[in-house]
Amino acid sequence: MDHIIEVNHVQKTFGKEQALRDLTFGVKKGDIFGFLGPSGAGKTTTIEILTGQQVPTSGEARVFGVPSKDMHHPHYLKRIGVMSDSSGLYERLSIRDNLLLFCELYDQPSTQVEEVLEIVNLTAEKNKRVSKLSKGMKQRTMLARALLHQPDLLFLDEPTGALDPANAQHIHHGLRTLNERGTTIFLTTHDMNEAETLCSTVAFLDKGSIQLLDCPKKLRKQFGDGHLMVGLTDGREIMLPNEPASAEKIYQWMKNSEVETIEMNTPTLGDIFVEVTGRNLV
Amino acid sequence: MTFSMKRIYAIFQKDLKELYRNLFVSSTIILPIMMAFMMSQAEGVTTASVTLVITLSFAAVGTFVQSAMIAEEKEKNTLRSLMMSPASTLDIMAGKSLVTFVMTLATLIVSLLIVGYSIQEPVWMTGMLLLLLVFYITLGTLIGLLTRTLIEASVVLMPILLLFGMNVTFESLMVSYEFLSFLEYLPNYQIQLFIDDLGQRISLKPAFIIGVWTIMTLIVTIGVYKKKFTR
Repeated sequence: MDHIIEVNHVQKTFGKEQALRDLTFGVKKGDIFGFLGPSGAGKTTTIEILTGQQVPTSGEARVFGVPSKDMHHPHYLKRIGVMSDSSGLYERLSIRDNLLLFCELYDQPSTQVEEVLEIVNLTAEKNKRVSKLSKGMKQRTMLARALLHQPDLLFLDEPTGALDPANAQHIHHGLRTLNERGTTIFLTTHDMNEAETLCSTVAFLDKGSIQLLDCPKKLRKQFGDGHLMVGLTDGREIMLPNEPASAEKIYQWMKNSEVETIEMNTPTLGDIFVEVTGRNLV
Repeated sequence: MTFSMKRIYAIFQKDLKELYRNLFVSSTIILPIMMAFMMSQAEGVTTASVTLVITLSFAAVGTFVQSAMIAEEKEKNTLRSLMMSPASTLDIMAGKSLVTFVMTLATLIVSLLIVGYSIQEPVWMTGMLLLLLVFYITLGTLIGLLTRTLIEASVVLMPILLLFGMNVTFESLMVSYEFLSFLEYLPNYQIQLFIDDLGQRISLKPAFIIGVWTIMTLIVTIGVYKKKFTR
């Protein structure tokens, strides 16, 4: 399978501190790849290496076949979009003026501004000065800027960290649409729900190395105990093994209209992270 | 390294809009204009007063505006965003320098008109002024790269303004204190010597010294940029 991101045995040290240890993974074209880990795990360093802001101390990172030392070239930068903590906005300019500047820099028509404002739900606020915006609105403006040139690959560092649930949902919808149009997305997040609803593949990063990598569904199944949880109308929750013998019991409850919910007793990604690393995500 | 007029113009327009709304920085043009008014009240236009208006325009506008714009881009993390776009370092620096260049030139023309200075040897004088302006803008770029915030750049600029913007007292200082004779080699003093000589001859020594200052500052600035912004 073709990987557009290839990371092989990458190490990164800052002075005596080792930020990344033998990091190896690949991201396929069309993936929404979630990089999960607590603060200091190495998520931002990884994004910085993949966007040409840092070079690995050893090992090799390639995106679209471009090695990290060549990632500052315009032909590479035109193919990627980046939204991170270190992105800034021009506070004295309006949202629209901020985006128009980057339209010019990326050789995009100014009509793109309206399109990305729609995705991040900021059309009504486009003439507001950035200095007057809330933190969430600024984050959405940064996201809009990263989307302006319809990049092949989008790097998002905690894209919905400062957003309320309604806006986070709106952004998720926009990202899914972009992904359906062919944009590969690499995102870091603390938010397990975000990872679960959005990502086709997740990697658990802890202390600079990947502890686990797979699709969320498979992971939950792999770490689940194979039991079914049946919620009944009288408030009881009954755990049954997922085997033919349980079917008779469930059938009886259903016959008497006693079943409220039936679900697999699978752990959340957060539970799996704790089990694998012994640490909490936040 | 790529070079795109479209990108340079986009950065130029953006900086112009920002400066228009940033009174802390843009109000600096008042300083040389006020000085020009004061000088115009004196009897006769001396070389020293003309030089003061020129160097003050260049230091207070050319150096300060350039350093403030770059320091603020670093402070607000917007320089990183520009660098992550297809705009090259040359596009970014040229766009910024163009704004400073236009502002400084406008301030200088207004100030010289107020003083009532008529330029002798316009071709030579224009060439020297352009060379000097490149030096002051490069110096501003260097200060902007070395400082972390707009306020820090403003503080660092104070001694720079005294050294490179105010040269009226240099002669008396050099007479009183021999160890200060190096002041003679400052670019702002050299432009004074050049203007002094203009009536009789074209002196190339000041052009050479200012040229050396410009090249040295340019080399240091590129070195600092590479050290700070390349990985």
